[in-house]
Order: sequence, then C-alpha cells, then structure tokens
Amino acid sequence: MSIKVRMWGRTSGSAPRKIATVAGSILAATALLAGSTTLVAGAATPGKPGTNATKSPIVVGEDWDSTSANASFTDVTAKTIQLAVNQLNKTGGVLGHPIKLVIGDDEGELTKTPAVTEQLINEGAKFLLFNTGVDAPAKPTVQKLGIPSIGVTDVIPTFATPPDNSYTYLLSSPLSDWSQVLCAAWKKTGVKTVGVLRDNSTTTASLDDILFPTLKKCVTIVDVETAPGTASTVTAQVARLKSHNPNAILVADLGGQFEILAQDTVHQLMPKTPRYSLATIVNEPQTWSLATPGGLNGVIGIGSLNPNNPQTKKLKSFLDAHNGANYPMTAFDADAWDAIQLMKTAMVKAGGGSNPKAVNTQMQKITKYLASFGQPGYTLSYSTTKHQGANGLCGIVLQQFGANNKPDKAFAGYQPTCK
Amino acid sequence: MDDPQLWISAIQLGCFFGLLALSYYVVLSGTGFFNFAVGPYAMVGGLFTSWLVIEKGFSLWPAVVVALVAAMALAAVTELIVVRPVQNRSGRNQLPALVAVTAVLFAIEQLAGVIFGYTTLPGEQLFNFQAIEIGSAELLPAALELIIVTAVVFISMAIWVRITRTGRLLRAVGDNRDAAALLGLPVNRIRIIAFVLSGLLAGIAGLLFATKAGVNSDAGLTWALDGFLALVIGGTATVWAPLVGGMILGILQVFIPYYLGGPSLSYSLLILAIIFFGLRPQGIFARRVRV
Repeated sequence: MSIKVRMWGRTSGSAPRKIATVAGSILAATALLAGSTTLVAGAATPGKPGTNATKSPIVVGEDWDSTSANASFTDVTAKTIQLAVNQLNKTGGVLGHPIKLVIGDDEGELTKTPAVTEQLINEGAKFLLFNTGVDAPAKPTVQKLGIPSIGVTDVIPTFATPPDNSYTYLLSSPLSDWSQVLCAAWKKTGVKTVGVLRDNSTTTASLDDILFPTLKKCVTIVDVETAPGTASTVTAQVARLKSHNPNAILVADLGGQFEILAQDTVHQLMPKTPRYSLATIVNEPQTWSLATPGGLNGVIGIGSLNPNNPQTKKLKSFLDAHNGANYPMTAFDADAWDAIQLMKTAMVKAGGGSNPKAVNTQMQKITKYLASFGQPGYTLSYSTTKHQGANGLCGIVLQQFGANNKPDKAFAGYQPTCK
Repeated sequence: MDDPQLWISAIQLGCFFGLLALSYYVVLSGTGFFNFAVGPYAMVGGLFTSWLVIEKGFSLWPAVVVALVAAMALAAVTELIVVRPVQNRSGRNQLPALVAVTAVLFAIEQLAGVIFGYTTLPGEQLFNFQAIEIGSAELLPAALELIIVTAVVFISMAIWVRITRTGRLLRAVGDNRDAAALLGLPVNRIRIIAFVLSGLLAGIAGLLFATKAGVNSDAGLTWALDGFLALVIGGTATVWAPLVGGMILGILQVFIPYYLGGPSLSYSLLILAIIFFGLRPQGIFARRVRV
C-alpha cells in the first residue's frame, strides 16, 4: 500500500503508465464488444446463395453508402437487396446464371460517386444499383460506359431525367406527385394555410422549387422557417410559425434527428395543429424511438406502403419469414425488392445479363410491373423517354402515426387511388 | 420574450453548453490547453450508453457507468498518448498539440461510427416522471434532469476547486507548469486528473442532452464548437464563468432565430465570436492578477 502511495506521488513514471494501461484495457474491451456485434451481424445475414444457378455469375454493382447519415435507410435497403439476390439465385438466377453482388461505398459524398461507379464497372458490373443519397454524379459515367442503373430509393428526378439518362431509372413516385397528393389531402380536410419548417440543407432547399409552385396553388404558405440540420433546438422557429396560426404545419427535411426535434417541438407548442412530414420518417423505424412519448401522434407522412396491396402482403410475408415475425417493413424494402425484380425481368428478356445494352433496351420495354408498394394495383412502366417508373399518383400512401409513435394506419382524410 | 417555453429551451441549452464549457475549463485550468476532444467525449457518453442499453441489453445504470468510464478513459488516453508526448516534443508549443487533438476529435467520431453504427440512437432518460406544466409551457423530464444535474455539478466543482488540495493544485499547475514542477508538485498527476474529470463532465453532458433528439457519431464536432464558444463568452475567471457563457449562448440560440429568423443565427454567432476573439478574448469573467 505504501509503495502504491509513493508511486502516485511521483511526477512521472509508472502512475501514468498504469492509468494508460487501465484506460487502454477499457477501450480494448469496448472494441471487443463492438467486434462481437460485427460477428453476430455477419452470422445473421439471412440466406445463402443456392446452387440452382450454376452457370458463370453475372456481376451486379451496388453503391451502398454505409458510412454517412444516409445509412439510416441504405442499410435497410442493402439488406433486402441481398435477400432478394439470394432468393433469385436460389430459384435459378437469371437463366441459370447467379447474381454476384459487388459493393462500393461513396460515403455520401458527391465527389466520390463517379470513382466508386467506375470501380464497380471495372470489377465487371453489368448492372448497377445506387443505394445512396448521391447517385446523380454517376450519370455521365454510366452513360459513357453504357451500364443500366437503378437509383433504388431516390425520389429526386435528376437521376432519371436528361441529360445523360439513357441508362438510368427510378422506382419511387416523383416529388411533383407528392405536392399534388398533399394538395388533394389539404383540400379534402379544409386546410387553407400552411406553415413550413425545414432544415437548411441544399437538398431540402432544392425541394422548394419542385414542391412550392404546386403547393402555393392550393394553400397559402404563411411562413417558412429554417434551421440547421444539426440544430439543438427549433423552439424559436416553431414559436414564429405559431404566431401565424396556420391550419397545418409541413416539416421538410432529410429525416432523422432534425425531423424528430421538429415534430417534438411542434407537438409541444402546437398540439392541436395537424402536422405533415415530407421526410422519409414513415420509413425509418429506428428514428421513431427518438421522439418523446406521443411526440409523433397524428403526424401524417408521405409513405408508400398499403397493407391491402397484395404485392405488399406477399413481400411482407417473405420478409417476416427471413427477418423474423413482425419485421417493420418499409418502402426501402419494397424498393430494394422491386429493383432486383425489374433487373431480373430485363436480363431474362435480354437473354442473360452479359450484354448491358440489350438489358437496357429491355428495361425500357417493361410495362405495368406490379409494384410491392403503393395502393393496390399500382404499377411501374418504362420506355425510351420515361425513366421514372411511377404510373399515376397512387404510388403514394399517406400514413398516420398513432400514440405509440408508429405509422400504423392509413390517413383517413384522403388517399390517392389507382384507376 | 414572454413565452416561458422559449426560456425553458434556452436554459436547457445553456446548461448543456455550460457543462461542455466546464469540461474545457477543467483542462484549461489544469494544463493551460484547449482540449477540443470534449465534444466527442460527450458523444461517447450519450451514444455508448444508448448502444449498450438498446443493442446489448444492458440495464441503464451499468450502461451509464461503463459509458462514463469510457469517456474518462478516452480523455486519459488523449493526454497520455497525444497531448503530453506532442507537447514534450514541441517544446510545449500549443499549436502541434491543438492540431493533434483536433485529429483525435475526428478519430473518435470515426471510431464511434464503426463501433456503434452511423444511425442516431435515442438518449436514455435516467428517471421517469411526468412533465411539469409551467403556465402555458411544459418542462419535460429530460430538461429537468439536465438542469438539476448541471446545478449539482457546478456547485460540486466550485466546492472542490475551493476546498480540496487537488482542486487548488489544478489551478497552480495550469498557471505555471514549470514553477509547479520546481516546487515538487505532482504536475503529471494533476494533468491526468484534469483530463479524466473533463471526460466525466463531457460524458455527463452528452448523456443528458442525448434525450432531446437522440445522438449519433457525428455529434462530437458541433458539440465541441458549442462548448468552446460558451467558454470564450464566459471566460475562465471562476468555475461559474462557463455556466454564464453557456447560458448566454443558449439564450442567443433561441431568441436570435425568434426575433430575426432562422438564417440569422449562424451570422449572429459568427459576429459574436469575432467580437469576443477580437475585443475580449479573456471572456466576460477575466482573471485578475495582483502585481
């Protein structure tokens, strides 16, 4: 004991080393804990490629941003892409050729997307899946090298519209459809004035030009408040919106923390005002628990899952079987699944996946594909000039959160229907 | 300024910024050095706790202890492996150590992303009780927890610095490391204590603030800057200066957007920082030295 006291009394030497050892041990233990998670996650990867597809593999590249904040949705998408590929391989692949996925990561940075795209193509990719928030910079590369590509979860039309869009395709309903659906819902529910709260990211700001012209035709936007996406509070912004006494609040952002902060604050300061969300919050189960109890109650989000759609039901059963019962299926799962089915359809019709140009031609001939999302009967179609698959507004489902902070019901006020 | 909800929000932010600034203050007092890694320590305090509870099934309090110990360990490692060796090699020049600590900040953020994932996890509330109605406003349990703990921490620190030998040594070593060493004071031990205490304070801050809207591995940088600005505003003359700086920053963060609109906040804070850096770098509460 006395030795210990003397050692601690020194100004240098073993005491710091001891502390370093203890601190190092704690950090090592932390790293070990993390390591065990990785192992478990690896072991839990559902399914294995079967042996039915025995011919040479077709390489498909996936740009999966697993690093940035976009991982909140890209991880879900990637998992279901893998599941869909495994299932495809189990059932014979593409005319006997299994699909081999190769993965790149642009880390959510626009500047890295072209390099990752080239890297995937250099690895032999004959088809590309962009599971990232920054797919648009890949367009010149895929155009030049002629590789058909799907922006799996992208809702901004840039990826599939000119220039350089001969090989690029989207699944989701375009943003212009969102504003039409919101207008219809507001008209039906008597909303005449709307206050907008949004983050100040360039992505969200770019939505203004797409959404606001239509929205301004059906309601009066009384105030637009902004805050940084990393804001610690938006109380002031919501208090300013409250002073205009709008009929409804529209929150527009990239989802995640800002969305929760905004919805919690609106719930606290304006508990009786209807709230709408432009973010992907209905598709981000992991963020629901960030809200205060009941903080999301009543929020109406733009989603795309209707449990009455037979295709959605079918996919839900499949996902439950592979991920466990009551898996919280999201639109990202449906997008991932449908992307693989569309790719398969085009490859089969092209006689295999080895000729990207032939596959691209067949992509443009896909019509009335029954999607796993949207209202019952919703279909996707493509042509030489139509590279966004949506057929009408009914790819959108307005989902409403309950007191349990889950979007467990369809909004009764209005739903677009497929004709 | 008559809306109590705005004031509650400002005070909550002020407490958080004050705790972060206090974390800076402790290291600055003990070593004369700005440790920009306090933001990541705070992130680890919040994120590690949530990760252990949600992903690993830990009970709350053991998770809190493990996370805070991890924050303290990171702070100790920062001093022993980064700051001290770099300062010794650079003749105690501050700049190389500051650059090295900034690298530590990003390294911890990246490491946290790899270990805990890149998604935001909800903060863990320490106690369960109902929200308190204050007129038309509502004081949520998370805000009340933060306010109470902040008061306890600052009072404890004020007492500790004033009446304990270690507390007094902290300032002696920070004021003049060479003189303290000549006098035979345990300089290295005091420096380690300062860093470990800084890690604990930041960890507590992150743990309590994470309940507001969750925490992710990217939070460290923003929190480091918030705490630094609070310290610059408050100064270093007393233990209470970081709290004053934090409160002023919290009030500005709420009332500037309220009166001038959201986009004005960044510009206003930039102007404020320039004013303090340029005209009063010692902050509101400056140390008075008798000559």
